[in-house]
Amino acid sequence: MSNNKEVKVLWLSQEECIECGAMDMDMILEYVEKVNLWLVEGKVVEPELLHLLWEPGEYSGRRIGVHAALIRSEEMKVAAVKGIPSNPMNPIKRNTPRSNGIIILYNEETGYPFAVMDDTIVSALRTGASSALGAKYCANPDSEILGLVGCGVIQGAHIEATSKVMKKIKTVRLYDINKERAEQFAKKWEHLNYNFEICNSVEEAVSDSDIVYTATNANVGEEYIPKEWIKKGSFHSGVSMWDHTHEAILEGFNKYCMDYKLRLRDPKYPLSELTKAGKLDPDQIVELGQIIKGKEKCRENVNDTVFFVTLGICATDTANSYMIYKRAIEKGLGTEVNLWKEPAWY
Amino acid sequence: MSEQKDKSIHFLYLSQEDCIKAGALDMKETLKAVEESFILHGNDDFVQPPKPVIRWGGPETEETRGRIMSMPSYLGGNKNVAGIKWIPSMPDNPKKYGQPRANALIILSDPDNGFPLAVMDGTIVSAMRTGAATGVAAKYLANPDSEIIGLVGAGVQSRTQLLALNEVFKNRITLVKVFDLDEEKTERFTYEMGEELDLKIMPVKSAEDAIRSSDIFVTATMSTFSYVKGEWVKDGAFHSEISFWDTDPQELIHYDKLVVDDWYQVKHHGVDVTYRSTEKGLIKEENIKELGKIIIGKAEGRQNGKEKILFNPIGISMNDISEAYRIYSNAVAQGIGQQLTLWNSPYWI
Repeated sequence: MSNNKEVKVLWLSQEECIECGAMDMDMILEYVEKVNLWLVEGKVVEPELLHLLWEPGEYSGRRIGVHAALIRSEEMKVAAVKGIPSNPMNPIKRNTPRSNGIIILYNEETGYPFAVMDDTIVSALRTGASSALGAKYCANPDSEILGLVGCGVIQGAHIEATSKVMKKIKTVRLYDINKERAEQFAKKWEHLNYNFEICNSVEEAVSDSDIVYTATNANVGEEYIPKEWIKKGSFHSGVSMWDHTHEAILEGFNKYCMDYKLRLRDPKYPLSELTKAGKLDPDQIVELGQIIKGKEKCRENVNDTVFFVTLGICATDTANSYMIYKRAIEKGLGTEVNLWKEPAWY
Repeated sequence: MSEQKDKSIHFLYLSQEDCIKAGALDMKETLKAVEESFILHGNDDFVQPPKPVIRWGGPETEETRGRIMSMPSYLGGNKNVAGIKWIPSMPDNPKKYGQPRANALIILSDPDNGFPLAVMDGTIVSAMRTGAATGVAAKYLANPDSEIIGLVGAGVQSRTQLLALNEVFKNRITLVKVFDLDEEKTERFTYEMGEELDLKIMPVKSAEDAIRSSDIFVTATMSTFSYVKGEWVKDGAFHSEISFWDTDPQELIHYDKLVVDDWYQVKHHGVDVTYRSTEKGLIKEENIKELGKIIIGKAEGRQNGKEKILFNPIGISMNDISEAYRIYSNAVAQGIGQQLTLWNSPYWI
């Protein structure tokens, strides 16, 4: 027991997080992969996903995501909570980012916070890294055509992460409701030297692509990808959830993979609805970590068509944020504040 | 479309000391903020999803190893603010580190663009709003001429319970009886609260002594078993049960009215005595009322001086966010706290 009862907390702004590696996709990929392993090894605990929704049922509207995770691996022991408000109207109405995330890191023994930091960057990049790892382990290794539906921030993270793990990609097909956004996207990522094709319809971006990522604002009831568009042998990551029809998920694919099967308990998203309704056997869904660990297989031949789901594991934010925090300590970055100098009551 | 030139986003950081400077210990104002949140609740002008919990094992380990609870809500009306309270609680902290069991951080957010307004200590807010919830409930549900108060448990919670009741029943309280299994704690409580509030506080020998003949009594303990007997409860008494296991569901048949803060949350949690009494078929769900509805006159409160009424709040985020917003507003007005930068210019990736 120490006499000093002061609890200090380090605040790291977005710029400071970037200085300490928040944009380092190699690090993000490494730690997302590690967290997927730790998940299947029982070294990660996460409670159910929670969204504060302003309009009931509007899963793609104004919301605050509330997440939490506990990691107890050999490499790190840390607990964290994350709040990520998101308003899709921000970029349009205010010219400000759609989302901003703040993560709090806790000493897992005392429950006292030691860092509060921006999570906006990590949250976006780890989402891209998760899909890319899905592709690394479940897509055909010689996949050449990548189709991106929705050309926002999240797809930027996807193309970057995928470029690092899928080396045979030559063509990227882009579709966005707003064509200008697709064009800007192609310009922004031209240094990857892909052959970018701006598509006039969603179908063009989806139907001949070997790898497809959907990251849109489509809401429940607005599903638009039918089974006919899904190429045999392809790999799809349904990042924004409500893009593929139920029929497409069930009949367009023959293999299923997700990063955290416990999420099948959550009430509202396609794979949990389908398994709860008895239309899809949960045993048919492979957990990504099991593949990484070499315990299970998803793709068995070139004709297998894989539907992948990443549900935003908070432990992937936690592990990366913890690495960023450690670099900040080394570099002496951040602003130190007190939770308290001396606690008022106990 | 308005083009913002300066894209920097700043927010206010408030340490526990800053919160206190901004009036966190002012129970009179806490009562107002908490009552306002109950009125919004009564008017259904809020969003409040159930609270997820991180545990280190099964549900039983919450009381031994600890937990981290997340409590988000949005308050409508003239408050129009969203927020999340995160509250870890590790039972071993006092023994092992000489530090509090619980600490809390609250993030207040602008509900329109989602950007943070404040990151602040929520430890004091939590304790104060829990007391204030009982205070507000007592204002509407206890007999107005209540004089004798009984407290079972002499911890931090009981302190704020008494602060709130003293504020609501100013100059009317003639006696406060306190019982805790820990005698030293009881003595410390008796001495310190007696000094602070100029009240006659008397340690008693049993929970029964604390409850019998009390007009208002509060059960706020770490008890893992039930001990409250309905027959001890005086006619017209108001009972606030803050902890979970003090009263057995069977005893609720002795009460005329059962009131909670949020029935949906109570049901989702599935532990509170009011929920267990409906599970067992002892009480009908429709006979459980919400405080907010009573305050706005949509549900019946006390109807006569003889009714025995139980208030069994689960503790809602709305109480925290309303109280935190009050302190934040004071801090802004008085220039308290430290400006921190979320970003100077957002990286669009």
